[in-house]
Amino acid sequence: MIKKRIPRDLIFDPYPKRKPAVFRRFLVLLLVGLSTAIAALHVKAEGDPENAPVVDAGALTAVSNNGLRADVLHLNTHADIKINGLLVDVTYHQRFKNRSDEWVNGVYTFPLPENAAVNDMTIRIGERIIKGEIKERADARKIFEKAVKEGRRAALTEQQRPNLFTQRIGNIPPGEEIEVTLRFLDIARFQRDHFSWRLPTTLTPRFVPGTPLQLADPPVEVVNSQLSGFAGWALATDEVDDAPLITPPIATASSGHSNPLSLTVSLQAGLELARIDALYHQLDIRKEDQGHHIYLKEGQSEMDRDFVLQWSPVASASPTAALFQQQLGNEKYAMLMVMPPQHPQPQALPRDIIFIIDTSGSMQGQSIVQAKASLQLAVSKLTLNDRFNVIAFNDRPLSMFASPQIADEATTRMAKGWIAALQAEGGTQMAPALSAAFMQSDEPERLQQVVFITDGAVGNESALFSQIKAQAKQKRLFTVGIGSAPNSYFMTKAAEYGRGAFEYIGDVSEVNQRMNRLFDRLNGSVAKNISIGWPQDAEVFPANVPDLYRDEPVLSFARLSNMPNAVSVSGETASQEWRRSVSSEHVTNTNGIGAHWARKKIAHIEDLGRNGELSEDNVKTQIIDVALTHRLLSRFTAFVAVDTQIARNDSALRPPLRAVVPNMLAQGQQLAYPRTATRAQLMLWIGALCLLAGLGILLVQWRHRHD
Amino acid sequence: MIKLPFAGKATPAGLLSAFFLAAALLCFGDSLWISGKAVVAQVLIKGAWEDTLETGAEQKPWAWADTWPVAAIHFPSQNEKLYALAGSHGSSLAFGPGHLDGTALPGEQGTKVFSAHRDTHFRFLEHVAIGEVFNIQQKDGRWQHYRVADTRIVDIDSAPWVIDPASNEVQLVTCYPFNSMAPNPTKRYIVVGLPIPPASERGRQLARLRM
Repeated sequence: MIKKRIPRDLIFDPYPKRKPAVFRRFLVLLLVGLSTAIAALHVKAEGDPENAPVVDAGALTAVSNNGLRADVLHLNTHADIKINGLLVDVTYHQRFKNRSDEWVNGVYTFPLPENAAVNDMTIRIGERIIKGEIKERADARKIFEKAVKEGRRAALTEQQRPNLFTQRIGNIPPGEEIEVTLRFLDIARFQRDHFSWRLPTTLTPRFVPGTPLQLADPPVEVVNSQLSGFAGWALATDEVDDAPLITPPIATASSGHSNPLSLTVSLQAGLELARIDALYHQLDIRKEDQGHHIYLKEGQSEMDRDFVLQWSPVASASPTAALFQQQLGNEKYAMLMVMPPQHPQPQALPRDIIFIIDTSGSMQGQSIVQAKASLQLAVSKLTLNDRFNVIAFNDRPLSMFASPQIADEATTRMAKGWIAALQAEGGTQMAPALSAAFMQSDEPERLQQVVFITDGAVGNESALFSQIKAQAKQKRLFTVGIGSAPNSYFMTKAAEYGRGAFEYIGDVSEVNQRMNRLFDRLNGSVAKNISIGWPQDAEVFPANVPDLYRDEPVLSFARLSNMPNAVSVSGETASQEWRRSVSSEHVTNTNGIGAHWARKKIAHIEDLGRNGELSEDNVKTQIIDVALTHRLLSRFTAFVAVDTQIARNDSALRPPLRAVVPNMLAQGQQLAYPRTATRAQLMLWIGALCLLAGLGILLVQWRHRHD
Repeated sequence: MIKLPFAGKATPAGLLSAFFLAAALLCFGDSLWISGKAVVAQVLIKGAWEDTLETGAEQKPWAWADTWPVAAIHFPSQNEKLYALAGSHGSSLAFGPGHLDGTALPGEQGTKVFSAHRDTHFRFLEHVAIGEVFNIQQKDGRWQHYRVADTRIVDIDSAPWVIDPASNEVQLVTCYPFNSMAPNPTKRYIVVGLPIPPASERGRQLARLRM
């Protein structure tokens, strides 16, 4: 009894009793606490502000509170798609519904396929249909603005980029809707064993490089008028003078906004099909006499990812050549498709391969995961024959090695570690990264290749194309488009200027197949110096046929007076001359070839302008000439439709609300707010916990020694 | 004599406690490093900003910096004077408030956005009340005065961010809640300041109102 009154530490106990239960419990608790904290730290490692992903100019979302409302105009899109062999003909309905009780003038920035030839526009008001007219852009604007001022319902469709358009709708009455219907033509892509066609539905916010122009000095068209002066979230800069027009606000699904898309596809492949599927959508497919009818399984889909339809013919039915024509007045327009020779792949040559990976803010979320996975796979496929380097860029490029290194075990292991640590943050300054890649070694005896992995979310495409053209020299540029809404115009055109090929990856599960295909192509083109035997008087686009990569056909468009009996195609493969003749006996008569030809011609004129072979004035007059003849939307022409009746007669009352339809944030992407927390507080807590643990153990031990 | 537990044979428990104590030291060190860096860097940045005011040229605060000061922010009511850097990357936010690329710079037309860490430079935003006045100095040395018009909390997973190029407001952005230890929270605290027109301008506005 007395023992209890003696202080414990004074008692000598030769056989101290262990207190395992208490001690262990204490330890377990501590360990659990600590490991949770450490785990939390690791999970949140991405949030480490020192290396945190950051906002770039291309990732802001904005809704102007200067009278531009994002909540009153609702959009419902329906695409009616007819596919006939390679040719895609789309009637694209945009139904704008005014959900407010005031009049509304609306604006919507939307993407279409990069080769889309938009050749018709109508608006529907109730039962009345008003046909749109193609005009020079400035004239179309004037007509539209005048109509809106007069209180007429009107619509104006303009092109900002070959794959980015602006729809303006004037005087939508309270609670009513106006439907704008566009018609565009496109061509499906055929690769080895399958066809595919891509319909973009939203855009990844574009990075706008350059210094903002003073507002006193912006491009006239941006500010000139209250109606057409749509302010995007970006200011016009010296490098992208139309930045406000290509940076619409972005909405997230959780903000309650929705842009539903429905579609019907009528597919007449002309071949027996083995498979039809969509990469990012569930389909409902019905086989009928006249081909297949395809719908979205859910009926509707959110416009937050590209719609990609694929169809594969049975193995024996794969096409090897096709010839199409259209008679327009006195002229014939023709399109030729020929598959390259099926020669075995040439032996892989020694090569220098530079990978560029985009680690800018717009790549945050799933995109950077896909990009890193593709790059890791690419590095693991390199052999001792290859030398490689990796350049990661956001605001500035960061090169892994000073110069390309032999891909041995040590360097590839190092690269894998280096790639794994990459994070998406900052701006998208592509120019310095491309320069850095093009300036790496240039040994003619090795294949020189650059693989560019990016979402292409930039606003200065044209300047980059010029740069690629000027700097690529021996090097070939291959683009890998990443994410749910890549900028396909950038991907295809950059690869064209870099004399390479392009691939898309929209999901981590596709990485393997796509990178394998890319590597097939990296082994070299299968045929060079292609020439196509159109008649002498034919005007042919593309003017110079690019080298052919494996499994991808030549496409050639011509305007001619008479169709020859046969069109010959020749080129050089690694081993021999390649020659083919396509008889015009089985030529298919079809609409739209003229429009495709005109679209290619416009692209050609733009190329000449970019190369400095044509002045900007000449580019403009020539494009307007082609576009007006073929009723095509272009950079310098626009569709405008005006109601004959005056709808809004209350000019004394308030002017209409200005409303914008936001684009949906692409699936897997994040809104990039700056990361404004440090781990300081967390570390403080973990430190305190550790201190407690350490001292606790000491205390327990100490007591235990002195028990 | 009191025997220190770690003097003598190393026991597992002793090792464990040594490990925890070392870990504690590292954590405290890291935390101190982050806050220390934030304070010390401001001194260097202040020097660079003064050079910028004098020469009109961008001036890096230290040789290997990849950012430069673009503005001074002065909150007299909070007794805070900060020097803001270009860019809202982690690499500038560690040292000072960052000016968001793509938004207007002080002196330019358009919404200007600055962000900073809630546990360093912008910790004081918690105490900022509507109506308080703050000043921002632009590259030519002139000060523009702003009055806090609004403070709001947004969820970055859902709320669209209001950045109006046609407005002249300033937004100060930081993470919310202020005392959370999460290193990557999904909420932001935004302080909106509207420019106070200079006296002459105000006179003109009043005149217009009277007409």
